[in-house]
Amino acid sequence: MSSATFEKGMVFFLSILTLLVSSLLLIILATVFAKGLPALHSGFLIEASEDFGRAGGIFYQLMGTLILMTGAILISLPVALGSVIYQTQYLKSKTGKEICRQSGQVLNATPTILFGLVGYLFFGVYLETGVSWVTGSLILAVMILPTLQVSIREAIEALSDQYKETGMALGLSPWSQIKSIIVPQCYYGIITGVFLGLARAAGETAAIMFAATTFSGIRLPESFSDPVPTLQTHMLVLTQEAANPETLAQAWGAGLVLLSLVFFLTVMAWILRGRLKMEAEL
Amino acid sequence: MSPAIQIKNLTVTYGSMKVIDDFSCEVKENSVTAIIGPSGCGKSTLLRSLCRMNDRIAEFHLAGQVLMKGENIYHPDVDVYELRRRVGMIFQKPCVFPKSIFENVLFGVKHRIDKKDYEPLVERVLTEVNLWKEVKDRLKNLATTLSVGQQQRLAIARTLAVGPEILLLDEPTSSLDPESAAAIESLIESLKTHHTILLVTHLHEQAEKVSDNLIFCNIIK
Repeated sequence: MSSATFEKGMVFFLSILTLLVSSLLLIILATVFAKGLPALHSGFLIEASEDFGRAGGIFYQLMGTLILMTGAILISLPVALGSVIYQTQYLKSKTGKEICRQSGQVLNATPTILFGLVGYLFFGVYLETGVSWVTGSLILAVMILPTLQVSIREAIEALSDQYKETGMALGLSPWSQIKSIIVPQCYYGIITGVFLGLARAAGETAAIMFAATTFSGIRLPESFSDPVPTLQTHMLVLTQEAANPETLAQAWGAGLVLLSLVFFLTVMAWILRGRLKMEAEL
Repeated sequence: MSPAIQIKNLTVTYGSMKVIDDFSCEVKENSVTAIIGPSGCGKSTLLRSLCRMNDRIAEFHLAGQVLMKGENIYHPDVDVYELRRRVGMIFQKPCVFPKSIFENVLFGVKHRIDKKDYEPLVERVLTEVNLWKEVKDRLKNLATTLSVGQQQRLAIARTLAVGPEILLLDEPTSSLDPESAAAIESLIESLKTHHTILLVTHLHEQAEKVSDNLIFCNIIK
């Protein structure tokens, strides 16, 4: 085989691989749409599920997912912001910075079921938060920490030195610089992180399945110790237990809603990222 | 009367690189001193050392003394933030924040003064830099919409608002057109009445025109 033929063959092979990868997303989207759309009816998002998920809507499941996501971001954001500000503004040792960065990456690569197990043992059992939405939010908060940190760190590091020097030259203390330069100038980076973190939390099932969620028995939590129904648990249980096509269709419907939620959050993050770039070039 | 600035045997190194070697000089109050020389000769470093802008650079090391009105600014008891308010620095490329002109002027003093003093201060410093007439009707506009020359004058106004005694100007006209540069040059002469000014420039002509004293870079090296 001549090298030119080999070259052509390689390019063809690589293009097939690329096509395969891009079509995967399309296949998943198409399947979820095809299977999920029939389940959608006008009240799907605002009605409670009935008859153990066979009929009705997914209102409380959607609420449950949103509660866990909101709880997670409210806990995670201040922690992530504070720690990144410390790492970028105060920590001088290069080794220290590298350790922080690497530990974030390891945390990001940890199987989420382990977050669930360790999180449940620590929060649920040791801190006695039990199987509840609080435990779930705490676990998700830990899980999305690296996502938030990476986003915020990127934004802060991309911030032009000019701004920092100008602030310094005006006699601003490090705290004033953080308050009036770093946080406002990195606003879009922080919000991008928030959306990516929310998307990650929304899609997560394993970490919260046995620590925070329930399939039935509860609609909205009435105390800190109540679990919540979520879209993820709803889908999982319905697909495992489904005895008829209507129930299965409900699961696909919930899946479509969840996918749309994640998709929406990711697109928002994407748009804001564009603005962040514009800001950096200002 | 003790001089505004006294530099005694100043040596500055970055890691193993010596940037300033055993340099001494005195600067009189309310004068303009120009520091000239080719780029990379340490003139910016000298300027930055006078308001401790290099403190955050890990490899930066300084020996010798810098005295302002007889007080060593590198003494451990010195409040570096207060020092930087007394010694203002203007950079080569004007840097305005993506906020209104009004907010930009107040950037360094906003939490330090009363709200009722905002407007008089903004008018005073913008007048001092000859920008008031040009922008008084659009103080709420984004500062980034100003021309580069106007932005540089705004940056000077922002520094003046903090109330410094000494102004350090690091090639303030090098990114400006000739007309804006001339405006800054005449501004420097008028600022001299209340401030001690150190000006880094690579333009001999500019140095001759605005300065009372000249420091040549080869002396620093």
